[in-house]
Amino acid sequence: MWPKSSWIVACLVMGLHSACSYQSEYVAPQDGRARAVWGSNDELTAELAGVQLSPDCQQAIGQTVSAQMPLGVAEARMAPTYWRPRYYGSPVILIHPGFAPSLPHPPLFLPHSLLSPIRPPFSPGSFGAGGARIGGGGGGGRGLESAAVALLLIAVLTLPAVDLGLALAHPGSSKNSAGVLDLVNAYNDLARSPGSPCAYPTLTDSPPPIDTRVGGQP
Amino acid sequence: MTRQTSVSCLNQGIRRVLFGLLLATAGSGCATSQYGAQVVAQGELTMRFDGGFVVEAGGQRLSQGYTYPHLDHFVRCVPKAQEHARAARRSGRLAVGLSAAGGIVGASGLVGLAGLADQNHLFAWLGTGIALSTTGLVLTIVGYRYKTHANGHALDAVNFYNDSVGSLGASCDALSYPPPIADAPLAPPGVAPSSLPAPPMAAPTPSP
Repeated sequence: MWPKSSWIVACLVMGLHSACSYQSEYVAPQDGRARAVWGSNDELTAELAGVQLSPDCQQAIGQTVSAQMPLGVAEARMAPTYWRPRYYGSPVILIHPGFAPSLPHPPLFLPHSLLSPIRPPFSPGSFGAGGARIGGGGGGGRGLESAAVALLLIAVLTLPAVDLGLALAHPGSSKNSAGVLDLVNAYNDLARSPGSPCAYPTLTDSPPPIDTRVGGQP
Repeated sequence: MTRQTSVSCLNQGIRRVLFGLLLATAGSGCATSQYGAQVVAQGELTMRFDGGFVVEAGGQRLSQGYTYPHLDHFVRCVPKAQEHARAARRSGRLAVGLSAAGGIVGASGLVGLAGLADQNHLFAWLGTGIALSTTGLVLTIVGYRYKTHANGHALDAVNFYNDSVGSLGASCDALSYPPPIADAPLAPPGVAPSSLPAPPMAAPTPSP
């Protein structure tokens, strides 16, 4: 009982975004596949996993999301045709039937020479998604005969609204969540669509191999 | 008499203020995904946002809402993902229960407005209303925390599963992987060697 009550008080004192936030243990591998990850600020974040977006690709993502461009496979939802993954790495072999093997080195969807070790900034804000936060109740009172009565009445009026707002609210910014998921989905679709500005290059499309010998010039 | 006058002045705007607050509350932060994943691998989990997170498997809706039903079963072949999916379900159930209770208790705090009609016990009514609203506030804050955890765990479950199974074209129902198209190319200078491809794993030995 004691730890629970103290924890509730701690939540109230420290606020929603500190003691009560979720700390994700997931670390995205640098494999070239975009995904949404849980950020440290309790907001969804787009993780590009080492991909450097070209200006054409950024433009294509923006157009795809804003225009809801169907990529020519609009019927996919009714009659899904699955994308056959093309990845680089060792064959994945099952060790224990029924369980996926652990992959200490993740398969790559993009040739390694095209992956950037530095994560580029990638925000849905550049495509029009803004941020919105749930606001709390207001305050203030009018100079009446009893300021206490006024303040109490305001509290009685605002607290239920705040309660209902919190009960119905989605954690974090829904605009940000929708924007990040749009970007991730659009990028992955474009990357898997041959001929698009974001398409995964094949080994034959990639630039000549980099000389990794000692003293070699990249 | 003075108190009656002041209270009646306040009473005139109460409905308007309350209505405005509820409208503002209901209208805050509504957004929906404009684009859903269409080029997906068989067994791959994707997400959309439609008033909350929606998990889709192979383009078909799998799970929706804070309790994320079916997700733990779908990712059962990846222990880490299943662990997170179960945690998401537990957190989601708590979130729904606490939010519902907090909303009801908190809204019942409006009973304090009865003090406007019962001037002799005005402070008693207001105190009761504030106590109820504060209790509701505590419940909804804790519920909000569990909503956050439910979403976070679900997202981790999806990511852990996709990394090992879904994005590679497999699923827990059909756990077989397509072969790679090539070995991973050499890493350029400056890239940590830990990201080099793993050596081929030994073939499984038949268990007795």
